[in-house]
Amino acid sequence: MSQVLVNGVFLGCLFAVVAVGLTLVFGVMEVPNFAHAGVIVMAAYPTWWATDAGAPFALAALAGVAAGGVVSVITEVVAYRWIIDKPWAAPAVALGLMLVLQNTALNMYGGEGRSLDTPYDDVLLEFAGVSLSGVKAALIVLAVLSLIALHLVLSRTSLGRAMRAVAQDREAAAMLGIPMRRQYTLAFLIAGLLAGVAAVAYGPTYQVSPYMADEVLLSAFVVVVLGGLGSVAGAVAGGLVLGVVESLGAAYISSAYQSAFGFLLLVIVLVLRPGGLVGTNARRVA
Amino acid sequence: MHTTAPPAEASAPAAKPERRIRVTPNAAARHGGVLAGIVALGILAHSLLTGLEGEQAQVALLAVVWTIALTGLNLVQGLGGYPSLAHAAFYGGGAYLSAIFLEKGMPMSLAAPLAVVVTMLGGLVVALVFSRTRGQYFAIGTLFFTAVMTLVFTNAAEWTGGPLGRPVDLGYSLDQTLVLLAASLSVGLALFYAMSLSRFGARLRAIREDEDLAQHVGVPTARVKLMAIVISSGFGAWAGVLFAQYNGVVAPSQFTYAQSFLMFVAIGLAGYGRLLAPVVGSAVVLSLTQLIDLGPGVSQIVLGVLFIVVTLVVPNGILGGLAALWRRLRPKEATS
Repeated sequence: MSQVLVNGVFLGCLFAVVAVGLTLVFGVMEVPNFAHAGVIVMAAYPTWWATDAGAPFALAALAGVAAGGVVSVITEVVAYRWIIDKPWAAPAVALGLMLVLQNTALNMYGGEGRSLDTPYDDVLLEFAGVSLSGVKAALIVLAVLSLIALHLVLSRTSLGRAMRAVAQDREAAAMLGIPMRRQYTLAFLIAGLLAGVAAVAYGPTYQVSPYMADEVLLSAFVVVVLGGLGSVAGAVAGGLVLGVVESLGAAYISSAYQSAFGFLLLVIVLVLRPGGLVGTNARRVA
Repeated sequence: MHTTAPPAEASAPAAKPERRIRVTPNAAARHGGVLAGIVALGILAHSLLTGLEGEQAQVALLAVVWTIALTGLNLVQGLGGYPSLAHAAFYGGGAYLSAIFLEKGMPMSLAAPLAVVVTMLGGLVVALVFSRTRGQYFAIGTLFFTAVMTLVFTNAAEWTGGPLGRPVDLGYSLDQTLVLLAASLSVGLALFYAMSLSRFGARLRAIREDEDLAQHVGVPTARVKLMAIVISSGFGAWAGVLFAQYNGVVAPSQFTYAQSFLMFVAIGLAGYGRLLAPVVGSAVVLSLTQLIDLGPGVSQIVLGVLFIVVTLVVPNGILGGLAALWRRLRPKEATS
C-alpha cells in the first residue's frame, strides 16, 4: 500500500510539473497548449544526444532544460502571439504546433525509443519496505525544487506579480502599463523550462521517443481541469490527487487502464462541477 | 430527420430565427443545383472507387470514408464551433462494434444499424458529460475520451483482438460496399445541407457566434449541442462500419487521437461549417499524408504549418477564403 502511494507521489510530481506549465500558459494567454508535449520531446532529445556524445549528465540535463525554454518561446513568437485576439483559434494552432514539433523530432531522430542513461541509474532507495529508484527520487526532488522556485518567482518578484496581474485581468493589467508581450513570452519561457525539467527527469524511466509525452500530457490536462485552468496551486494539488488515483487503480484494478482512471476522475469532476474543482471564474496564477 | 423540425420555442417569441428555406423559384433552383452537385460527387466517388487500383484505391476509399465521417464532425466543429476530438473514437466504435456483432452471427442488416445505434448511445454519454463544458475543457475532455477508447481497443483483446487488431467478416459484398460508400457520401452531404439550412443549423451557428447570447434569446443550447454531438457520432460510426467492411481488418492504430487531430485539422483547413469542407479537408489531409512521401514526419510537419498559417491568415479556411475572393472579384453581383 505505501509502495503504491509512493508511486502515486512520483506520478503526481511528474503531472504537477507538466500541468503547471500548461496552467501558466492558459492563465496568461488562454491557450490549451497541446504543443507542450512537443516541447517536452524537443527537450528530451538534446539531452539524449548530449549524453550519447559523451557529455556529463548534468551538462546534458541543463542543455535539455534550456532547449525546452527556447522551443517554447519559439512557439509563442511564431504562432501563439498572433492569436491573442482570436481565442477560438487557440486549439487549432496548438494542434498544428504539436504536429510540427513531434514530427520534427521524428524526422531528426527517428521513431525508435532511446534510453537515457543517468549517473543515478543504479541507485535504489529503500525505507521501511518501500523502494524507490534513484531516477524516480531525482524526479521528485527536481519537481519539488522547480515548483518552489516557481512559487518564489510568482510571489516575490515584480515579474511574478505582473504575471499574476495579467492572468487576473488582461485589460486592467495593460492599462496599468504592464508590458503584455513580455509577460506572454515569460510565461512560455517558464512553461518551457518546466517542460525541460520534466523531460530530463522522466526520460530515464520511460524512453525518449517522439510520442513519449502524449500520455503524460493527457494526464496533465486532467490535472489542469481538476485544479481549475489557470491555477498553479490547483495544478500541484490536482497532480498529486491524480497520481495517487492512477497508481491505486493500476495496482488494484488493472495496470493496462492506468490513464483511464484519470479519465473517470475527470468525468466525475466535470459532471459535478463543470468549471473544475477550484472555481476559476476569477482566474489567477498563484 | 425530425431534427429539422424541433418544437417551437416556449419563450422569447421575438427571437424566432428567420426561416431560411423559402420556396421561391430562385431558391428552389439553387437547392436543386446544390443537390445535383452532391449527387454528381457521389457518382464521381463511385467511379474513383471502382476505377482505381492498389494504393490509389486505398486512398480513394479513405477519402470517401473520411468525407462521410467529417460530414458529422462538420456539424459539431463546423457549425457549432465546438472543437470535438472524439470523432476517431466514434469512427472506431462503429468499425469494431460491427465486426463484433457480425462475429456473433448477426446478419449485416442488423449488425450495421446496431453498431451505429450503440455508438450513438456512446455519443450521447459523451454529450451529456462534456456538452456542459466549453471551449478548451471540451477539447480536452473529448481528446481524453478518444485516448481511453484507444486503450479499450488495445486491451480488451477478447473482443478487439488486441494491439494487432482483428479481422472483419464480410457483411456486404465488395460491390455493395462501394455503392453504399458513394451513396452515403451523397446522402450525408445532402442531410448536412438540409440541417445547415434548418432552424437546427441556425441555432448551432448562433451557439458558435455567442453561446451566452444564444441562450438569452431562447436557443435551447444544451439540447442543440447534445443533438449535434449524437448525430455526428452516428456519421462517424457509419463511416467506421463501411471502412471495416472494405478494409477487412481493424486495428487500434487506425483510431487513435492522432486521427482525431487530423480530422479536426481537415475541417479547420477546409472551412468550418461549409458544405464541401469534408470533401476538401479529406482530400488535402489524405493527399498530404498518404500520397506524397517526403520522408518520416515531413508531410505532417507541412500539414501542421499549413494549418497554422490558414488559421492565422484565412480563419474561414480554404473554402471561406475562396468564397471571399470570389465575392471580391464579382462585387456587383454580391449585393443580392
